[in-house]
Amino acid sequence: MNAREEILGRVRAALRTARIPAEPPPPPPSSPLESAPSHEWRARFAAELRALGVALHEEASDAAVAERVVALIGTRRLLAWPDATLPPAVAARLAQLPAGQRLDLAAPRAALATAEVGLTAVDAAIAETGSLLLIAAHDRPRTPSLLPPLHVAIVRGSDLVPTLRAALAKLRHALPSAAALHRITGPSRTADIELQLTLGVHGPGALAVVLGP
Amino acid sequence: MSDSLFRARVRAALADETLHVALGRATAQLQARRATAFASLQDPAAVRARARAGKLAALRTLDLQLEEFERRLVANGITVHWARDAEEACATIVAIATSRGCRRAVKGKSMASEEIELNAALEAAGVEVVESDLGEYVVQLDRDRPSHIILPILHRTREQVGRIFERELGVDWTPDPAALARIARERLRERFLAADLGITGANFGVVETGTLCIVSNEGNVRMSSSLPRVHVALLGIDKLVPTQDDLDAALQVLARSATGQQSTVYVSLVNGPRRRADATPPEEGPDEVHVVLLDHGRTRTLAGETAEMLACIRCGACLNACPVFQQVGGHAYGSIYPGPMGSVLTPTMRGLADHAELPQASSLCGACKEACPVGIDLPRLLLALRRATVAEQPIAPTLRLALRAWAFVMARPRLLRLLRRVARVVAPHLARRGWLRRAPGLLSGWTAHRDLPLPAAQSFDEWWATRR
Ligand code: SF4
Repeated sequence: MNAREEILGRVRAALRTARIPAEPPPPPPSSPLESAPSHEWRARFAAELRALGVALHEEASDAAVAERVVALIGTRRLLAWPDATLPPAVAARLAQLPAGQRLDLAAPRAALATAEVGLTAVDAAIAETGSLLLIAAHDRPRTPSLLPPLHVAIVRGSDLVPTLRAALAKLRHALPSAAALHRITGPSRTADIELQLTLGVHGPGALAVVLGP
Repeated sequence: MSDSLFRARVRAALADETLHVALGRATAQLQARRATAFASLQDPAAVRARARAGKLAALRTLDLQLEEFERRLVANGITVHWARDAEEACATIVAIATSRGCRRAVKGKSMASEEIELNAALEAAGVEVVESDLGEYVVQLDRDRPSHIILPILHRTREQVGRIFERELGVDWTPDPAALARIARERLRERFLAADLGITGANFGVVETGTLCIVSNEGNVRMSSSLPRVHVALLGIDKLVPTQDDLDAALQVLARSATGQQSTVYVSLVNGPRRRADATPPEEGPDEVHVVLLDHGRTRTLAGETAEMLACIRCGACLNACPVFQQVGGHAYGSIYPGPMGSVLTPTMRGLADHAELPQASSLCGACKEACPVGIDLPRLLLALRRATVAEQPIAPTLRLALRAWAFVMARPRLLRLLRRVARVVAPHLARRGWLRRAPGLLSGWTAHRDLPLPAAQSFDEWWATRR
């Protein structure tokens, strides 16, 4: 018998005697935020980011978002999502960066790993936990939010949702065809040594969010 | 594992003062963080109940759930393998590596891979493998074993970690956790960029979507599942949850119970290999994703009384809450699953005969049940295993005699009162500092492991008589 058949057979045999409490499933957990007005999502998102140690920059216009992004990048080597997945104002502003500052996404990985700032948009932002959701796809590369020591994420007002459930519902058409979805909540951290909080173990040790209108 | 080995480890752990102090501090801190994190939920009980319900629902029809999960994984482009035991799982993963010419593997933290001793198998086949979780990296450098399922080096001080880095990596000694993390980041970054195989566990498998859910705080799991061209995820057949809503609830309780966070920093939902290798620039992500579904004794746990144990989400809360774990630490249990959860998992998965001591290593105080986010009745399961031990193994003739004598006395109140009077006179002569450490005759078996208090000056029935 092959392994599959044998394991399934063992499972069926075990289930005949298995004592598994029969309890009616309670409804999925709901959050009071789900029924709250959207300006409360914004306030909660900001509060959660602060608690996580994320630098939050709230901007009132697309142009201000673009300026803020460029200021955060400064003169550092940049690994960014392709223009098509960034807000047009940001893409236009990045085009003015000195030649060579923005790395070519087609470059070998060793070159990408030298980036000092990673720049992405997001596919959703979760107010309840201050989390960012990024789909992994050909126009949404994984390394900008992973390799550089600083990750700058651009969040538009329309990206905000109250909870993870709401985010998954919002993305339900995009998800099945995506290879992966990543939820990011704050900077990379560990507490493995004597429970001491240490930032930036493997992923970015600093995370900045530029929140647009 | 023999009885004497177990006892020797416990004795050694109890004698280690540093370990005691470190364990006591850490477990207290972890428990406080957990309590705070749950307080941020509007209705913690409801979320826990939903998380439990999801796991139990998957177990109740586990055969059908596994078949459906497999169908969904395959539809997502993932290759599915089944492994009856450790040997088969290791052989499967080694075959994936060698047939694809993979020589350099990076690993995310995976208790299942510890269970099957995967690293040794890969290295024997010429595949270099490096642990990328900071704690597991230290364990690997030190050729040690993890002592906690969430915090592998809970038994190490920062000074000791500094010594290990100094010895194994040739860096200057430092006890600063931030500096140590920086060294690990640099060393492991090279390995990530060069790796052609990424190996991870998975915290959950979502049946309805055929998705793997893998969490980490460091980012090493994202690297392991994103950078190498082949990704292998090893998961026990007990890891399933039926729906995304079940996953949502499970994630909320896991982060809170394990580390006192609202959310783990990185949650990777893996649906399959990269979709557009042909795009310019090509999509990032692995070309192949493999899932290895592991039994290795889980179907034994599923049978009978202990089935509920498979609802465990490996959060470690019962370890931190357990007064025995707080005293002896993880290594004393002699299994990679320590504490209350391990005392049920190890004997059921690996056989009661060799691990009969573990279900005894509990005071049945109930702290674990209270802590468990999915409400597993650990004391009940430990008792069931004790019953099974007694049914399987004949009890020692002296113990049988002692129990008979006890029953005889207990059924005869006058005799009991007489013996009590004798004990009150005799016991103080045998006691040291108020405790009986070495009792005579049939009681000596008891005091070999536990101290006896002196008989009370007034017994309950005497006190009761004066009240009426
Ligand atoms: S038994 Fe419960 S508390 Fe213990 S590790 Fe498993 S889920 Fe956590």
